[in-house]
Amino acid sequence: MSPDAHFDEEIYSRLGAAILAREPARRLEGEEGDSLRVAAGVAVYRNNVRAAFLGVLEDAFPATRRLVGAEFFRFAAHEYFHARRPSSPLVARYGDAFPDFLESFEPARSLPYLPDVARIEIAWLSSYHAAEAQSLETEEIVARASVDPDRARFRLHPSAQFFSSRFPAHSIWIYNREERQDRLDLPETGEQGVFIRPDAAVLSYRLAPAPFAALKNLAASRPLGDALSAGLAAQPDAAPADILSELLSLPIVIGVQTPES
Amino acid sequence: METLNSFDGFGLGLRTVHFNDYLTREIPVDFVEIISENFMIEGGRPLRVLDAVRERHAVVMHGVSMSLGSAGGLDPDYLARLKALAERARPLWISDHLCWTGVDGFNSHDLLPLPYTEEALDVVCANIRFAQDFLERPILVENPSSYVAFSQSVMTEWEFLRALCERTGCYLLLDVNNIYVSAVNHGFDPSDYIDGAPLDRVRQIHLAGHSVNGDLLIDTHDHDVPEPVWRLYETVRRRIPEAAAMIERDDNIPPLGDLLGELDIARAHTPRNREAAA
Ligand SMILES: [Fe+2]
Repeated sequence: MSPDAHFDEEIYSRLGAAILAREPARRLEGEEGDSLRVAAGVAVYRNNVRAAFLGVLEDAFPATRRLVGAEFFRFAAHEYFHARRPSSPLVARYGDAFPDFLESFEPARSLPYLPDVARIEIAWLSSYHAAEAQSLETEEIVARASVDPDRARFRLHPSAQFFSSRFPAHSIWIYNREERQDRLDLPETGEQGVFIRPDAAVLSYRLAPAPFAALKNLAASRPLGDALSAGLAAQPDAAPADILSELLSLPIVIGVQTPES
Repeated sequence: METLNSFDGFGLGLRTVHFNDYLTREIPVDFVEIISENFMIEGGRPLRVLDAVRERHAVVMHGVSMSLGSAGGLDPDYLARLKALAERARPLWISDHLCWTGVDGFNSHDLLPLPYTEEALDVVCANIRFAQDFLERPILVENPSSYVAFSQSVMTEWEFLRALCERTGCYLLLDVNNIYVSAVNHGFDPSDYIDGAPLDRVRQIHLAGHSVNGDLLIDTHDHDVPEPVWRLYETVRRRIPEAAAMIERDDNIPPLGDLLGELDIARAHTPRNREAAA
């Protein structure tokens, strides 16, 4: 019936291009009806697609949006849509490149911490959707590692998501995520920490440089001895015993491996 | 393909804003519909809620990303994730739309329209067969709302759907609002659609609201079901006595109580319920 085996694909390409284009199409070859009617129909798809992707970003970045306001956020989302053609088969991952986009987004330059707040929102969402696992109790970890603590390696909870910023981005994130109105006193230092979802809720832990560095080393499958050294290197005034007790207080370890086990 | 038994009842979509309602009280629905993609995650609250709801209600899975119109075939990764979710949710059935969603590396995540050509029919049939073999069950295909039509089309949408069912053994999810929206947008008579569609293959019915934009109706799922859609629904239900009917609401979502009230209206608009009451 069809004269050309690739005809339908050409129709797809034309409609796809008309949806992606910055300017609305005046006329689309192959569509039925007068040009005004076709343009109105294509405009519905253009608007639906843009509104849906905006909605995905609004859901994923509530604190970022509150920081810049709904209007500016919509503008940034629109520019993001045109800068990075949406390609992910998973719509939930559409915003993954949004923080990097904000980093180089000239109109947002006056808020240098904005990309880091957006990164924290992605980390939170990844933790929220991560696999379930049972965290070990402190005594259990100690008992299992006691054979050879220095060489013990820890398996961390799949929901563990690290964040770090040279700005107090975590404080800014919480303040906006909780839609607070009170006065916000920000530290002048950067902030780092980890999200963990040991049960239904995502918990967030802000950490000093030493336990943070130690934990990241554990996450990279380094043994505990090396991890503690890395912690001390990151924060020379920290005490190894304090780093260790801080690590053990987090519901983050789900497995312990010693050379013998 | 195996036969899919009818499930007779009234349901609603399971939406995040209503999770707490489902966890804290008995909700008078016969089934819930989940948007498959929202639950294709590793873990966390949505899956926990699904597990809890599954204990009390039948579940149907409704997807938006299969892209049955794709000339390049279906994505096996997507189907594998869908199948894994189905093993967990044990749904009555899995549905998706008669549409395509992406081309040339662009994934629109929208339901884009097909030309109703012989070539498109071959493509969609091959894709449905592939999906059904992969998922080891027949699927339901939903009629979309559309805003452009193609001069290349050689058959109507209902003829296209009939051919799909005959050739692949698939079933239909009939969206009454989408019939109404497309009928207004493309100037056909909805009763021709209902007369021509293979109603014996319908297992599920969607009801929804739309919005008016100039000459076009847009399927926005953000309004109550309007009067003409209820009338069309009554006509359909006279011919399909047994089906799983539900209200779709995805935007501007009201409290669950309001949707349950609208579901009561759906029950009242179902002829056999009215006759039983009379
Ligand atoms: Fe629908």
